[in-house]
Amino acid sequence: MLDAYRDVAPADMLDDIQQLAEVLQGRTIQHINSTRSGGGVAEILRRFVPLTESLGIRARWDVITGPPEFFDVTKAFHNALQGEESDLSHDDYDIYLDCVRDNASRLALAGDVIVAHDPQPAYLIEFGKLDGARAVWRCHIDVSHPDERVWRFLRRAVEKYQAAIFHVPQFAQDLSIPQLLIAPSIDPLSDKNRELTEAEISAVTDRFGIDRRRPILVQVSRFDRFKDPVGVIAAYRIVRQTFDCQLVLAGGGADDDPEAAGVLAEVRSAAGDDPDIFVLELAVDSNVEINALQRAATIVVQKSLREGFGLTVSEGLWKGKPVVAGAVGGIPTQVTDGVNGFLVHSPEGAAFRLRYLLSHPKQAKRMGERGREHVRRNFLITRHLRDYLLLMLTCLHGTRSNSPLLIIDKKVVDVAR
Amino acid sequence: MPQDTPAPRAPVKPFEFRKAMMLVEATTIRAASITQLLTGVTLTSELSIFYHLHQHFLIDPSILPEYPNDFARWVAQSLNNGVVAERLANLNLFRAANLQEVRREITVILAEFLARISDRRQVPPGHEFIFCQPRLVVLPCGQKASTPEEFLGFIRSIDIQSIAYHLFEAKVVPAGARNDFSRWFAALGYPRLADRLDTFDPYMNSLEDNRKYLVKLIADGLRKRENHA
Repeated sequence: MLDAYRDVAPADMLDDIQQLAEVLQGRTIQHINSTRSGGGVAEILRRFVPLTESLGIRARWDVITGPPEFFDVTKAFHNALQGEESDLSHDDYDIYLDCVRDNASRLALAGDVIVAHDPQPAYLIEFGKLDGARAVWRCHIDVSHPDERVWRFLRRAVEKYQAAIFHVPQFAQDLSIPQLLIAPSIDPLSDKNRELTEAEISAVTDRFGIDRRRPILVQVSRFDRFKDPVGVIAAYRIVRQTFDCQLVLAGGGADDDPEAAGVLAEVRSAAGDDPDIFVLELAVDSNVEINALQRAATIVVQKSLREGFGLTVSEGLWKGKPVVAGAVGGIPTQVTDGVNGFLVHSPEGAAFRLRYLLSHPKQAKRMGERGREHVRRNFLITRHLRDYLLLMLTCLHGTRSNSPLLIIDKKVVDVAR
Repeated sequence: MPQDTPAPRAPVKPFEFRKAMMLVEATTIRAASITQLLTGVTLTSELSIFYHLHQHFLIDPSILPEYPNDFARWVAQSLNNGVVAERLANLNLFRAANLQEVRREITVILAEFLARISDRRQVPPGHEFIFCQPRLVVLPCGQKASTPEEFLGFIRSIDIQSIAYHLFEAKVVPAGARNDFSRWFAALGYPRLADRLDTFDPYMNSLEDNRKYLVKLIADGLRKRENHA
């Protein structure tokens, strides 16, 4: 399965993965999250699990379940951890704890390394049996300015893990456990990112009535206020004063996001009856459509106000498009300002950079090319997989040790410093 | 000047190319001002200092950024202090014998500035310098060179991480040497080439440019020895 990446990922990265996998043969990694569809975590795990298995490392993916009230509470956690003020009551916390306790009684926690993704399953460590296992908490959201009350609650569980993993250093907290950094990734062979023919791209744009002869600005994201879709419309209206362009806002809800419908209504209202704004509510499996829209784009936009990592940025860069994006969360790791796109802080800033790129198509093309190479080295699933194998090694050899590990003849030697 | 002349000598072990992968850990040490940066540099681990001086080489091996280490870049971009940023950019990493020496040099730069100017500038929340450190995993690349010609062939195409390892990371892994390439060529009886490999400053180029320079240096060294013979 790894061989399928030979032509797209750096060859050396694949060799690294093979070597690391050899010393982890027969081990098990178990992922636990809260949804099998929608959102970045599920998307990564869907590709990641079979790829790990193909290397001779067992990979399990378990999903915690709960009633709608549970997901309302965890959505409120999500927003509070990203900085929104929370008004969660004791009853809300009880709903969360009861549901996680119930899941813990049903879930088998059986990995040599267990990765609990995001707040939803975090308290499993309180109620689950983690004998001999090495559990880490993987945080996919920007918790750099969390609501203190919610973070205090979550932190009690998080500090019981062996380590916490964040996307970028800015999300790390003052924790008593090691905080490791692993950026997420895109899969270049998935329907969302594989090469498409011109006919495939046109089939999608024709279906939505998008005119490929005129510039197209595309933002792909969930309908979520932190993605600032209304701000993107404001930026587009400024650009429209100079350029006859179109705006595509494409996204869908995730199973665990009860707020999406409300935001979508706000976006539709802001778009009004402008025939050049396409607000597309796509089904969760519309990967080819998203791929085609990004490939049809003249410029990809991701004007987030808060962001976990913002993988749609890497998706856009991978398709050779310059990206204009909010300077938040993991986006500055992906967009090097002025090299493969621009970082912005307001609708006016986004409009200015969009106008600049529309005025300088050659430079826009060069930026897109640089962006693709940057993603190839740093944000493909192969780099991500390598980091997880490194994580497994680190967990199995003690997360608190800073000694370099040396791999000799398929064995791991801890180099005493 | 030593000459690269063939001389009978004991067999030399083949050169085994290695590379290091890193998982990065964010520490809880943060700095929002020059004063706090000084405290952080004093407190943080040597591996952390190493990481912030070298990580940019691997993010994009074909680019040497304007400020060639994280300290200089943060002081320039977040604190807008060009004077200190330039002094930090000018750290003599190549000549430093060890990371303790580099740490001392950084602290002297920061302390001297603070002694002259009472700088109260602070970055806004979210823009702090966060000290990180790597968890290194070292592994063989699978290539071993027994002859200089083989070595030259490998260096042309070997994983760029291996170049980084032998130029930089071997310094912080015990049993490594300051410049593995130079030591091996010296043992093979190429003292002049070994000298040149030991005196070239890899901090002035991107990793890919370092590779090109190494190829040229070694090819020239081998050609000269051939001509001499």
